[in-house]
Amino acid sequence: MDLLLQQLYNGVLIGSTYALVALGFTLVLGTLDLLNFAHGETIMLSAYAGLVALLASGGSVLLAIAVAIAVGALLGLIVYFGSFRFVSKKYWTAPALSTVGIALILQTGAARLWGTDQRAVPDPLGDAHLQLGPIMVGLSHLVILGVTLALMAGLHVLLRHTRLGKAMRAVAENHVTAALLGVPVERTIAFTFLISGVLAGAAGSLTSLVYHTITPFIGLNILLKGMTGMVIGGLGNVYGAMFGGVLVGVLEVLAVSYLSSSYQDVLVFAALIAVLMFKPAGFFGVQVRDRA
Amino acid sequence: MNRMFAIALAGVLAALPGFATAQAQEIKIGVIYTVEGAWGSYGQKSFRGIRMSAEDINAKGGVNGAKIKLIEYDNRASPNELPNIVRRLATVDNVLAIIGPNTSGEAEIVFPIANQLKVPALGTSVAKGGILNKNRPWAFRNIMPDDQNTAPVIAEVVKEKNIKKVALIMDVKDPVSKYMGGVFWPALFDKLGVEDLTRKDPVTFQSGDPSVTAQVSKLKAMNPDAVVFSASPGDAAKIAIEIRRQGMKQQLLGSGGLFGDEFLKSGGAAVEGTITAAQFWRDNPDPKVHAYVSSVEKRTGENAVLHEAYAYDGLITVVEAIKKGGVTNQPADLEKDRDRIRQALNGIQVTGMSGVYSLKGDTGEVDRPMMKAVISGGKWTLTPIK
Repeated sequence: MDLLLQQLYNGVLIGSTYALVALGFTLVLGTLDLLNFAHGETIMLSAYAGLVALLASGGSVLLAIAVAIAVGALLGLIVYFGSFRFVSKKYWTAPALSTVGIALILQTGAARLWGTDQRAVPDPLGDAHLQLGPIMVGLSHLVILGVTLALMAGLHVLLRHTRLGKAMRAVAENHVTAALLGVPVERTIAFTFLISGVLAGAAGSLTSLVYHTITPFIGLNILLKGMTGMVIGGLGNVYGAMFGGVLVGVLEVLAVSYLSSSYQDVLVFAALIAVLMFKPAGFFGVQVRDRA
Repeated sequence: MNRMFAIALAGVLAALPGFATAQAQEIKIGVIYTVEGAWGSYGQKSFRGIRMSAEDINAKGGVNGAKIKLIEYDNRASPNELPNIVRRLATVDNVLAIIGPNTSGEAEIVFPIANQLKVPALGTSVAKGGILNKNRPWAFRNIMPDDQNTAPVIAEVVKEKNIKKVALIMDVKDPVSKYMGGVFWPALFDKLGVEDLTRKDPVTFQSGDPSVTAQVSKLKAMNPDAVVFSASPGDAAKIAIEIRRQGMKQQLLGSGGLFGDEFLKSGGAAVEGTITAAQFWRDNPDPKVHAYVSSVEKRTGENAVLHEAYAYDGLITVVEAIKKGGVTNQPADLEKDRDRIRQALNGIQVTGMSGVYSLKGDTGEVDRPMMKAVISGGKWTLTPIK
């Protein structure tokens, strides 16, 4: 029982980082119906930027997170300009394929710059932890969970209670109508990419702290988990993405703990198939375009 | 008219014996590694090592006056490219021998084709046990398989540290780790009378898995005397960090595959005290070996590592076989020359950057000194095993 509780906690911790990944991905999908395949590599590169900042600052976790977020935001804008703004809209697949190209450039660039070996990410908080009954909670975990919750709450406030959030939702609903009503569509789309990049940056720095090491190849794996969480939660629904991400983390950890690591993807993707068969809109999706 | 004259002149020159010999002066050796994918760093080091080796051999006048020419292919971490590359090297580039590839999984594609086409193939970084058996008599390697290298070291450590029960964590995706975790370690534990707590309830992960938190929580609940890694150096380091973060103080053990800078650098303080086997001794006091190592390090500005050294020595090994076998390097003799190299590789003795070693005539496996490696004070400390 003690092990089960610890593993459930481990699952929530990992799942919270997947939720951030899913959130960033779903924002762009929800607004533009665009699959941003460069999202995983944005996370990866932000993680490297965070690591550089962490080492340069002598171990400041908050600075590392801030730098990763800044780099993530910048990459978000680069993806916007490189795969959307200046890419022909005549071919509906062109923007998505452009994001694949950007992903490959980012991955290859990182591999050339930092090598393909795993890079250690030092945890300045070390093995300091709290013992909550049978559950061991690392101090770095509290930072991770705290930042994740803060970002989720911030996103909720942004979408529900700000002009930008309303504009994003309006653009998501219908570009043309939004434009006719005076919403600056292109600027709103650029902000959406920027916020998606911010979430990717945060996810990058936080996941690297959980995983202890990073490589140029972590992007795709994390992106797949995030995407799965997003679909399970409900396409384009930010609250669904939060729920789905955590669920994927928990399922994965339970598979590793009670079956075998070979089954972790089986279990996660079986859940995905089950959701697609019996609840195609996901747990929180009523319609594809019914978003937060 | 001028064009006709040029064509005629080229024809006459090509027909001259001296000109034909000059063309045959280059000794072509095929090289397959990759700088891409998860094992790309190994490939980068291997390419660098073998290029420096060719540079050094050519600077000393080549082989019987002929220069070495490396015909290099990067399979871009894609196994699908390997069959075509091997066939091209054998039938279009007409190389005398092939050195590479990067990984054991790739060797399982390269070696059978090389064997079928009767081209000597020498692996320098493929450490999975038993990989040569099915691919003899044309397959060789100068890296010692993890199993042979590791067993005597672990036997000594188990006795010294009085280890009664162990927990094994295994990568089920990487072929070497899967072989070691599924075949080698269980057999060794049985032989040494050590209880394997993970035998009935295995703890596994897959290379590329971002998190190993759940696996380590499971290991912790088992409370073993030692945790044994069947994993690549980077993954093992990641697991070690999580092991220490979860408060486990157990002895960490691994195979020779962990030995090297990557495990040390990635693991930091968490891997202190880890014991593994080792086969590349950078500080080897042998003057000839030391000269090779310092010459390479002077040029690269970095500490020499196993993959670089073994690739460097791979070319030396083939060159020694060319000399020993009496290779003519004439196009008409290509098949005979390949067979001469194969025969000469059996039982060959080499002194290179990685020390003094020989290739066994019956198996193609390398015979080199075994060592125990312990991480102490952030450095590897090596002691020979008898």
